[in-house]
Amino acid sequence: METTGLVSIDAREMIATLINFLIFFFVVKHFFYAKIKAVMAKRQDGVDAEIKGATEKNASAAALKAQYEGLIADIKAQERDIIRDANAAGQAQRQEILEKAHDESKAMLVKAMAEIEFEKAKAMNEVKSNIVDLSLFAAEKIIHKSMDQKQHEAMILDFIDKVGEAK
Amino acid sequence: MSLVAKRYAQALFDTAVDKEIVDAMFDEFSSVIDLFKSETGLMDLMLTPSINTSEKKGILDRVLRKSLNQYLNNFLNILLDKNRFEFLIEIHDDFRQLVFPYKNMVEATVLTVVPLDEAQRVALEEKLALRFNKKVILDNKLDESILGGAVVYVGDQIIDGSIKNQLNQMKTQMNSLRLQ
Repeated sequence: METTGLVSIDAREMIATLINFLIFFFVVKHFFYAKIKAVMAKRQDGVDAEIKGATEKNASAAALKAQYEGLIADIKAQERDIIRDANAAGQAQRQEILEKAHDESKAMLVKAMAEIEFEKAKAMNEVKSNIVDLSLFAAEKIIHKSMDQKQHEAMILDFIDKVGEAK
Repeated sequence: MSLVAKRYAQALFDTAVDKEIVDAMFDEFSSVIDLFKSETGLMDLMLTPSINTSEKKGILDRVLRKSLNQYLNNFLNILLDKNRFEFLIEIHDDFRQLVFPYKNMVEATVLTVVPLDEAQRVALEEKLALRFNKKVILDNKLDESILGGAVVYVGDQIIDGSIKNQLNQMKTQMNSLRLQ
């Protein structure tokens, strides 16, 4: 056996190795290449699909963001409108309450005046009625004491005369 | 007024009309009533259950026989027989209600402070007779509350000539005055 240093080239070994490699290459190519390729293609498709999905999701999220920003802008605009309307309504309501309170106080004043007038008239009538009652009571007493037999008879005769006059 | 009293009064009235003794019957019946009203003991006697009917008739006969016509006497005996004597005064009231229209008479009450003398009573009866076109039987009652003058009640009519009425009219007028 010939030895030449640490590295030597053996032609037969090289050929054998080359033949082994070729055999291995063809076996792999013949039996496994299509499957490996299919696995790789499938994996590539999966990655592509995930990338595509992520891209779509990003686009969708961007669209949603834009949509929500639009909605927020609308809501803010509506909020401003509502506040403005509420202010206007509040002002109108305040005015209405003021007017109503004014009208009510005016009506109460009129009613109070009418009640005062009524009570005044009632009191005056009561006083008048009491005066009349007292006057007539006094008149009855005076008549009762002052009428004598002769006057009674004169009144009876006057009554008898008048009974015949009117029918 | 009870139906019993009305029936007895109507029977007595029919008899009086039939026998043409309405005036006498009314006068005598009124006298009987005056007697029983003044002698309450006599009425109590007639209504006492322990005295039998024949004894009551005897008492009644002795008290009234000479002054009553036979029809009224029989009527009172029937009231005793039928135990209806308690209705006597009520029957007389109903009888009077029948006699007065029949005789074209009407009862009137006059209120005065002093009693009417006979001349005033007759004058007032005549004036009222002319006014109502009926003979008026006047009952004078004293009432100091009218103060003076007179008030006449005839049926449902009132002729008020009293001082009290004048004062009341004055009161109405004064109360209707409006104070400013």
